[in-house]
Order: sequence, then structure tokens, then C-alpha cells
Amino acid sequence: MIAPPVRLVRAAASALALAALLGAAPTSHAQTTAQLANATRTPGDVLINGFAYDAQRYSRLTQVNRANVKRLVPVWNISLNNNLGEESQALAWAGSIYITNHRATYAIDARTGRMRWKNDLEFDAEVPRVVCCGQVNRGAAIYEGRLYRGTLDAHVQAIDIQTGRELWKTKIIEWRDGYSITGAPMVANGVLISGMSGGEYGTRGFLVGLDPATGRELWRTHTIPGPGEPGNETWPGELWKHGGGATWGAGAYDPQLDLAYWGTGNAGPWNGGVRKGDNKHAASTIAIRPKTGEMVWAYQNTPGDPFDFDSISQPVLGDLVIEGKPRKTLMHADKNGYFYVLDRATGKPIVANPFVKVTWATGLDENFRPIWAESTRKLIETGAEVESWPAITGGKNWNPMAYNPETRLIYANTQEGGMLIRHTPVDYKQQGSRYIGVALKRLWPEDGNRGALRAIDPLTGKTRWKVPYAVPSYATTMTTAGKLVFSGDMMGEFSAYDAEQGKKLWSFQTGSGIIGQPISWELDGVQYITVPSGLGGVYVLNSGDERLSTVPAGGSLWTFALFRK
Amino acid sequence: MKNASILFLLATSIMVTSEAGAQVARPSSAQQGRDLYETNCLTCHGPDMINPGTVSYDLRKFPVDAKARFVNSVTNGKGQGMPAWRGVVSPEEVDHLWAYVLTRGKL
Repeated sequence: MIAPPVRLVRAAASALALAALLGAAPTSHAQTTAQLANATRTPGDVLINGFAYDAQRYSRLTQVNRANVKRLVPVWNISLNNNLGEESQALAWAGSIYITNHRATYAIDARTGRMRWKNDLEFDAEVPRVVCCGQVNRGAAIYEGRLYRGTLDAHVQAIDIQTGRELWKTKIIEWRDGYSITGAPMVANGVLISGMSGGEYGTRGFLVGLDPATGRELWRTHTIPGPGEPGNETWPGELWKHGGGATWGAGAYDPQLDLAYWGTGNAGPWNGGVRKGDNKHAASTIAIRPKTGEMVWAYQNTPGDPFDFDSISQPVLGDLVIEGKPRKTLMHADKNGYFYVLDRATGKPIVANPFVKVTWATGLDENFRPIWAESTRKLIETGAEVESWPAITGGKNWNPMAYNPETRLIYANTQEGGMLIRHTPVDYKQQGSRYIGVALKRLWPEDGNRGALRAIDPLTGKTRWKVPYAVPSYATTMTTAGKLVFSGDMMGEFSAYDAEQGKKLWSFQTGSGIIGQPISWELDGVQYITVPSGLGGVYVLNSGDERLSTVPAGGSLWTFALFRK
Repeated sequence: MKNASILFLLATSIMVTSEAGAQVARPSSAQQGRDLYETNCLTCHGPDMINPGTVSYDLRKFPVDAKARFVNSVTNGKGQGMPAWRGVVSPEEVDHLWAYVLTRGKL
């Protein structure tokens, strides 16, 4: 094990002594609103899904860099006792690492990798019937001594961060109606906000705001407007009741504007011919006021979404210089294949460009509304089979991307593929049943590469460099001030790349496929990199890709640091 | 050869006589099973049952003489991943799914 520098030990001992003198609990595990808002100034901790409220997944730590990354070695590994996939992001705070999956929450001693506590979840054996794309969990939030997470049976749970004891568990909605929670919650301006999943099961999307202390519901804002609400007229008849727009990704927050940002999922059913209209606010990016849940603005990426084009990939906030002026922007790579830069105060698009092959639209008009290709028009009007790119898995799926303010590049694992799609009859039959109405066949690029790690210029959508994957990666990316990009792949390799050139500088085989979210943190003067490994999720389950037969399941958490003699 | 004959029978539609005397095609049990599979099972077990068999079970390997085990797994769930389908899929529908499983996804 790596010995901490003496001076840090002394400093920590002094701090503990001072805390004891003042009568305060040492390392009180109180993550305040101010600490969360200033997360970028404490890069040794990871307090938020996305690393900070801007969700850039940019670590300011520099000990590990391009010159020495080859010396990264494993420090510890711990089993997560789960064979169904690890999509989560760990949090790092005060000497502990916190990690979730759909079965449990773990606290791990950051120095030794030994478990401090585990909180197991129980749910009905029928629950996974309403989970479309893998039984997973994508992360937690911490605030004022509590850890918050969603559950597969549509509850939000609060856990005492020191003991692992459950403090409260609030039922958000009935899972039998097709709802689950897989995404990470977020605490913004003192309100715990959670999304929900279930866009394939006739659900109606919403965000919910809870009192972090008690779990009491403060507000609920539906993404699909009801009668009398603006946008309800974009739905025929009663279809809004099961219109999708699930909020199954993670959010971001701007404390200055006091706006929380979330993406909304596909319109339901997938068959766009039965719900002609824009179908607001499915397949959209929305901004809400955390205290009230008021929807301040909404931009619809894919009006009338006919292709399962969720817009739920975590928004990334960055202050970009555009035409010589700094702008407060929101960056988003949509499943529809366009990369958007929005003004995050108003929701007005600034630029949008395709970042993968796009055939469903011929472009965007002056209002940034997609112009349907003839194939899309034919599908909507006749239901007949057409070829369309990207496929339902999108140009980029749920897995968040990273932004490095030094290189001014976005790093994203993209999907490369198209589909033959046609409509089939669909009715909402019973609560919690599949609500789809399309048949499709996947098409893959001729070069055999179904995905790529791309460095994308957000202002042009152009790829600066890319590393192809034969089997696409559904892992998240991370970038660092050490000019590195980290990500994993479905075959189990966890790799580091030069952020400017894309050259692979280091990799390690983790023993199962990687579909989760890496972090970097610091303790005792040492920079660590942590990533979950554990194959699962939508691609391995229903792509029919038998190359993954040689990649075993089995979740675990790896931590790396530079080797020291 | 015997198995091949059984699969052929399962895979073809059965012509039945309606009450009015007209001949109409009724989907075979395996065809009905395929429809049920595509609605409820494909999302975890793959298109045409093609699946790497790591995170979810590769149904093409299910022993053909173990129907009782199949019925139990579908009805009550199994292991970490398989949910219980009781109350949603009827016993008759489980029979259809079994007929489809016997085709190994090649219907």
C-alpha cells in the first residue's frame, strides 16, 4: 500500500483534534449545498454524479498524466455480488467510496478496498418484467450525511452514510404500472430530485422533488402535459396518458441560474404513426426550478419521435466562447444523431450538427426543428418498412460523455448503426405491458465497427479523433487535467487515451465488460482512478452479438493508482 | 429425424374449420409462442433467441426434456435475472412459449 506523506497525516490529525475540541463530530459527513456547488474546487472528492453540477466528468487532478499513465496498477478490487451489470458511478468522500447497483448500496474503505457496510434491497420477483434494458442502477446522490438512490421497484431510499442504515424509503409510483427507477438522483438547492424509467411500458414521464430529510414529496412535474397544460394539444386524444418521456438519465444543475436540467425519453408507443403530432415534451431537453418543479423551458430535440430517440443522456454544462463571446451553454449528444449546444438560460439552440451518420432528417430548419427525410415521412404515413440511421440505440445512448475545458473537446462513446423499421399494430392493453408497435432489423456499418470513442468539437459536431470499437461501448467517459481520457469497453478493457491525439496509452483487463462510469479522486496525496466492471445492459441482452459469449458476467469495483517503488 | 418432424409440425400453421365451415389459418402453438416471446422475452433473451448466454440465459440450450423446469422458471422466476411471470402469462401461453423454445428460435 502507498504510504501517505507525513505532512498530510499531521494535518489530518490536527484537524481531528480541532474538531474534537470544538465538540463537532470529525468528518461529519455533512455535504452541504455550498459544498456541492463548489465541487469543482475539491477535486479530491467526487460528491455528484457527473463529478460536479456541470456534469463535465472532468477531474482537475494531475498526478496521473500522459507521461506516467503507463504506471497505473490496481490497488484494490471488490466484488459487487451481481451478474446483471454495473452501470453506476461511485462517489468518493472522506475516505469512503460509495457504489450502487440494482441489488445493493456499498460503502468501501477507500484505502483498503474492504467493505464498510452494505444495504441490500428487496423487491418483488415480478419487478424486472417492467425493466426494458437491463436490471441496473446508475448512481446515487449524497447530502447532509445521507445517501440517496432510486430502486427498481420505483422507490427513493435514504441511507445513513456512516452506518448504512435505511432512514426512509418513499414509494414514488406503482411499479406494476410499468415504472422503475434506474437513474441517479440529484440534490439541487436543497431539494432531492429523481427521475423515473419505463418508456417502453406505457408510462407517463415525470420528475419528482422530495424533502431530503424526510422523503416527503414536494412536487411532481410531468414531462407529458395533461389537459389544460401547454403542449397537451400535441397529442391525439388520450394518448398523452401513456406518452413516455421518461426521465431515466441523470441531470445537471446551474446554481447561478438555479435551473436543473434533465433529458426526457422516447415518445410512447414507439410507433409514431398512431400519435401524429409533436408529442411534447417527449424526446426533449428541459429546465426546471428545483424548489418548485416549474418547467422553465423545454426544447424538443425530436418532435413526434418515431425512432425511440430518447434525449436522456446527461446534459453537460460549459461556458463556451461563441463568436468571441462567452456563453452559458448546455451540450447534448442526442440519440437522434445531432450534437446540440443550447443557451442554458433560455433553452434556445445555438448550434446543432450531426456527429454520426444521420438519414432520418435532411437537416434542421431555422428554428432547429428537424426536416424529415422522405423515408421518415413514409414510415409515419404508411407504416411501411424504411431504412433509417441512427438505429433505436441512437448515435449515442444513455452513457454520459465528458468535456475537457482545456482541449475544448467532448469525449463520447458513440453508436454506429442503422435499422429497417416498420410499424405494427399497437394498443395500450394492460398496466405494465410492453407498448411498442414497431418491428425492426438492425443494420451495421460495412467496416464492422459498431461504435467508437470520439473526440467531438461541440461547436461543429465534427470528430477530431476516434478510436473504433468492433463491439460498441456503453461505458461513460472521463477526462482529466492530466490531458487524459478514460473509458472502458464491452470486452472488459479499461483504457486511458491521450486527450489531444486519441492514442491509447494504457489499458487493463478488468475481467468482465465495462458499461459503467469511471471517477478519479485523491486521498493522502495520491490520485486514484475507480471504475466498475460488470457486463450487462441493453446491448448484451438484445443485440444478438454472440462475440460477448467469451466475456463473463460478474460485477466488481476496481481502483488504480500509479505504481511506486 | 423425429425431432425434425416435430419441429416441422410446430412451425406450420394449422388449418382448422370455423363454425361457418370456412377454412382459416390458426397460428401454431410455436407461432403464438414467438409472438409472446417477442413481446415479453426478446428484450433479455435476444432476437430469434440469439444471445451470448452470459448475462441472460441462452434459451437455445434449454434441455428439450425439461419442460417442467421451463414452466417453473417462467412462472416463478429464477436466479438473479429472470422475473416471475405468473399473473401475466397464462399456463396455456407458457405452453406456447415452450413450443417456440423447442424451435431454437428458427421459426
